[in-house]
Amino acid sequence: MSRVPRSLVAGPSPLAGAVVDLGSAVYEPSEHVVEVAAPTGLRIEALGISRARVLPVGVDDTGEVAVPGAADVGWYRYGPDPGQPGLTVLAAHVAFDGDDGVFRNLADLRPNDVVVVELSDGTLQPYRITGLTQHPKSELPPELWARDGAPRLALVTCGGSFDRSRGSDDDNVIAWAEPA
Amino acid sequence: MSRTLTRLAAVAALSAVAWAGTAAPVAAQAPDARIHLLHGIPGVVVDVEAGGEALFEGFEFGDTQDLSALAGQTLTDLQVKVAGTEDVAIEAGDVTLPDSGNHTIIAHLDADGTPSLAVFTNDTSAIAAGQGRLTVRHAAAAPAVDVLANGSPAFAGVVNGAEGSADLPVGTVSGSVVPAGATEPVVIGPADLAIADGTSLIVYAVGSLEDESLTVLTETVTGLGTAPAAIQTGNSPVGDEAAGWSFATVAALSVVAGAGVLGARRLAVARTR
Repeated sequence: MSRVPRSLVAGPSPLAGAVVDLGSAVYEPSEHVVEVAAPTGLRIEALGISRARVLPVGVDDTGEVAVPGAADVGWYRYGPDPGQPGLTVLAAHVAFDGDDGVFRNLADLRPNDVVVVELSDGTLQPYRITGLTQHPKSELPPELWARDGAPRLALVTCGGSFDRSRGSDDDNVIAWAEPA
Repeated sequence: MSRTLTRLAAVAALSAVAWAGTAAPVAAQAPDARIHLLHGIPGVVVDVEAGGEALFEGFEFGDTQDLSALAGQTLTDLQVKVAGTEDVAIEAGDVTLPDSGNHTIIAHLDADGTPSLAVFTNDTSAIAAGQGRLTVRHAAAAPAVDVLANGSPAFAGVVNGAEGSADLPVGTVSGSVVPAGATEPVVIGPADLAIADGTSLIVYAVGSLEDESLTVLTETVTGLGTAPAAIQTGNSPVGDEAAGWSFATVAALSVVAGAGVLGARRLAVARTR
């Protein structure tokens, strides 16, 4: 194709409208500062939980969330910090080695019940329960691992029938919450 | 006129054949390509034209244009010109963009300092839970380099147009660049790099060693993470009535107050900042 003198160029190419300017890719140090406001405690007055300790957890050798023992709550630390975009996951047992777990009565939560998360910077982040759902353990909803969208919280425990042959419950119960 | 601009005045030819050779194999239909164009030549603003018409103008160093909507199309007589002039910096000919896959095209200086275009295909394979991917690409007018992570060699002998990549535990890595086989001088960095779960961080070394304009650009590809396999939160029966509530109860509650749940968005796949 022959070169068209600039003065004769009618205007932007018909293709131009398809191009989206995404802005600068220049290295910006502040984008690489990891500020962690990790959850350290959980209060749920409606369930009589005055304060449960929250521990950061990852995954175990089998790729499952490494939930702590009966008395503590695990924060899935590879997901968002509370207040960051996406869904913060807090998981605790309904029962563990014969003891009631912290989330023994999680299913008793009702919409608008308040959940307060204590953060490592000393602040308190209140949430309001929006609903509960129950899922087979192998069919957890993808929303549970969301990394974008409004900041929100999920409290996860077990429910459904206890399968004695496998030594575990069939389902997960999830209480969903948004900042109050 | 700076040395870079002088070089830009010299036309750098890039054949369409070479370009096509770097494109990913054409997959089936359903194109869902992600194609970004990065400006990696410091100190010069350019206009990009196709078929004699402006594709976009005033494209500045470090900026990114998303060409994904043009996937699979042929840009005829693609030219990169010094902004507002007829000085052709890169004469690319007819360029057919990949119609699938995840790619970054970067306008950069080759090892000799000649402006050129390079196409990198981004690895979008799944990353294990708790890890992020770090990819370092040499797109600067400079000899082979070693890339140090926290002071230790991570990628050795990386030449212009090549890359090194590794999946690392989440956290912060201090990255720096030194001449291959040496520990100093540090020509880029040290710079903190955030390794985030399920995210690929791509770092481009750009600019010119001779012009003392070496610096880095960054790009991220998100949504590559692996969700945990399960959440086991009950290894013994609860004391009474086995969790004592029915799914019907749950369903009813969800209907009443499920808006927040229904509004939840799925994990973005290969979404880029």
